[in-house]
Amino acid sequence: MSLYAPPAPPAPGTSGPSGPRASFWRRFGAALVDGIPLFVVNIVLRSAFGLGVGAALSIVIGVTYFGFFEGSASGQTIGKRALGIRVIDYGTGGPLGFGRGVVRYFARILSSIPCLLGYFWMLWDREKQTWHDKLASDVVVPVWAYPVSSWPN
Amino acid sequence: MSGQPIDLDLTDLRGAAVVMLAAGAVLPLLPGHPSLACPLRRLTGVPCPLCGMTTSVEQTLRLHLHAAVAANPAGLLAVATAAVLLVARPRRLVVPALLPPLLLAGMWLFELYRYSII
Repeated sequence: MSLYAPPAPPAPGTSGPSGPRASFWRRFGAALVDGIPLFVVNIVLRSAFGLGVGAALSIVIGVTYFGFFEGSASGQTIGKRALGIRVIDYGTGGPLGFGRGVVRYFARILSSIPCLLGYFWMLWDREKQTWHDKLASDVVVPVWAYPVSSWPN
Repeated sequence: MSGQPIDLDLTDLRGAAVVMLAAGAVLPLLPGHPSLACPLRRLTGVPCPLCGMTTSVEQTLRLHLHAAVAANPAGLLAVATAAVLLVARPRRLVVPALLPPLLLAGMWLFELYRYSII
């Protein structure tokens, strides 16, 4: 169960992803590194400003955080940077830009609605894409295969 | 080509299996027995294909198979698959491209029936 080994090539007569993809463990770890502090901020804001205003402020912070970092040239939030993975455009391999970073943030909510099914989708998807990857037309890849020149931009 | 069988990444599946088994073993021991309330069911009243899976995995691990099947039969399959992945450690797992969506469709029909939607 290595975090580092590149995946084996697909067996003859079958197909897998069109390039190296970030592993489940790394994506899970990055989600925890990003998600736990944001969850704590959410709780604090709800306690300080009430449910409605607190939730709205949390969404603004989430949109800004994920839109900026995942839309940046590196495609790395702090969690993704810590785990050595990044988000890139599925077609070009380039950055998503702030707008699609925001789309990806809201698409996460869709992935979460059916008991996180949209997240688990990567386990059997040919390109290892979650629903929010598909909606933002991106893939999450390892830095060893797609190096980052500077962070965040 | 989309119709070709999918060569699943066993490292990913083993990772997910570890998380699933750990959650199934630990969650019932925590104060208040936390669980994931399905947002789809809370929002619309309609269950999703994965509804009942936490309960099913927890009950399977405690060998309460009747309760596991009642919640979602796929929990037994998930635990059995996880055990094979972690113990037998097969080198490859190739599945037909249609298997995951068909399995999810079956799970959803079961949950829709369980909640008297159909």
